Amino acid sequence: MIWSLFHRNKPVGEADLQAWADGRLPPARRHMLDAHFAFHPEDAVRARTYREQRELLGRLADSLVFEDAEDFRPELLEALAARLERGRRVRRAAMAAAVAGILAVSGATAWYGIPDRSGAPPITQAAVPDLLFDPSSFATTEEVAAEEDSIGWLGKHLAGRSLRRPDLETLGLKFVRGSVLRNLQTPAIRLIYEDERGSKLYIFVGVVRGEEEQAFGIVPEGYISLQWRNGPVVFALIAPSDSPQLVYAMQLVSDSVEKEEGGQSLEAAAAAPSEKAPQASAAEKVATPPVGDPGTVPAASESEPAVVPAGGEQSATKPL
Amino acid sequence: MADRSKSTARIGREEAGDGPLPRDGQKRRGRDAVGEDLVQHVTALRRYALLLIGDPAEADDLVQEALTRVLVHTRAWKPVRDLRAYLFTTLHNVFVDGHRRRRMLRDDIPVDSLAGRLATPPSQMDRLELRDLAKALGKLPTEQRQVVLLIGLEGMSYRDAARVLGVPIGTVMSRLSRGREALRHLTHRGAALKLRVVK
Repeated sequence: MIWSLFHRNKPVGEADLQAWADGRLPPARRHMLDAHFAFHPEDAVRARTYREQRELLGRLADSLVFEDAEDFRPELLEALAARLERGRRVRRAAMAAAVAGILAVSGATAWYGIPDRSGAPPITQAAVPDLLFDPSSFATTEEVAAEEDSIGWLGKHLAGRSLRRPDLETLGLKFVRGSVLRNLQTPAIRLIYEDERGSKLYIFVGVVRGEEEQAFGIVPEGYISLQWRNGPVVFALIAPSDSPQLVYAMQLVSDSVEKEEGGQSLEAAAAAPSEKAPQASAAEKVATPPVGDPGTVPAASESEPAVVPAGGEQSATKPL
Repeated sequence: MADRSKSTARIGREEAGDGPLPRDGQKRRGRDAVGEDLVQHVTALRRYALLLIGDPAEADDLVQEALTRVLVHTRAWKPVRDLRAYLFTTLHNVFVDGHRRRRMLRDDIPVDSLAGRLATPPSQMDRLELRDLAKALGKLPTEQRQVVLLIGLEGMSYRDAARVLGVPIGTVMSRLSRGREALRHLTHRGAALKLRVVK
């Protein structure tokens, strides 16, 4: 409300008349105007006329009935409803992740679920960026021509379960290549995606064999990380902090795993008793999605309808 | 191309409300909350666009273009919190872009096409009043008409209207004031009130 108590004693102005007509004045100010009208009948007439205009417009709105309201562009509305519902699901997932309380702050994150594997180089702090951006500096890397090779290789470490490459095409992210990261403490692969601007999104997928947790992961300034665990599989997404894709990419990666056919889903695997699959819920290990990333959706206007970003703060989706 | 054959709007809530709607009712029951919200918002968009432009088919085309733009650009990682404001803002931008493309601004509503769709009001007096109002709206400059409709018809707050139109709130208040005052002089109701005061 723009008429705060601070303005209570301001002289009656044009905006007051409009706000009186719209019923948007605080009681004290409204009473002041009522008194004002007694001495300024011309203002009273104007304000009452505006109020009647408003009532008449309301009747006009009520009277305009669209016979095809339920059938208006059904395919378009169905597609849009599905898109919006998808957004709500992502929001719920993001909120759940926030509630889980696992921090993923731009610049510094914690990693969970990497077991020790003797003889292999330890995964230490600051390892994730090296691992994802320049794996040759840390692990023996085997670039594979077909991304399914790296996925298939990792799938062998999942006790017969299979993985499917996350499809991020709907985010405008094209798969670039996959790499097998050998000689790490855990079987792991790296997947690289790229958007049309050339910004890269890195996905780390590893298989956990124990309950041990080892924190690491200093993300360089300007980057943001999402890390979570789904049963025996651990994930990390790292991308420039102005990337809008991370939260949804997380959802797609999870969906992709859960929808895998021909084998037990990872979620089910995580829930089922297994000597190799530690019992850790995804919710416990889900990292908080990036908060307040500036979006890159093209917009024509400076105005900004409210949108809900991950974590519930103001995001940057702009009108189109 | 939009399907214009179904672009019909008519006055008479009681007709639509009391009529047999088994098919629509089934659709409503089968639609989720998002879909229900969307239908309501789209109906409001169509109403606003119709009163903004005056031509039902053109108004529905505008709404369709806005919805398409929303569909293309909405991303699930940035869910929309205020769907109504988002849709209206997009509609406004599409409207402005359309005018830019055509390099012309038409500041009048072809009232006849709208008035012809105002059918079966509760009384003849109401019908005349609504026609009168529609004609007066058509004579307002577009910018004033937008503000009057968003605030008076859709019940938006001044702040939301400012966001939708991409202008400062002071501009909204100014346009609202001028628009309503123009309406007051253009409608018989305003003239009648004037007469009563004179007495």
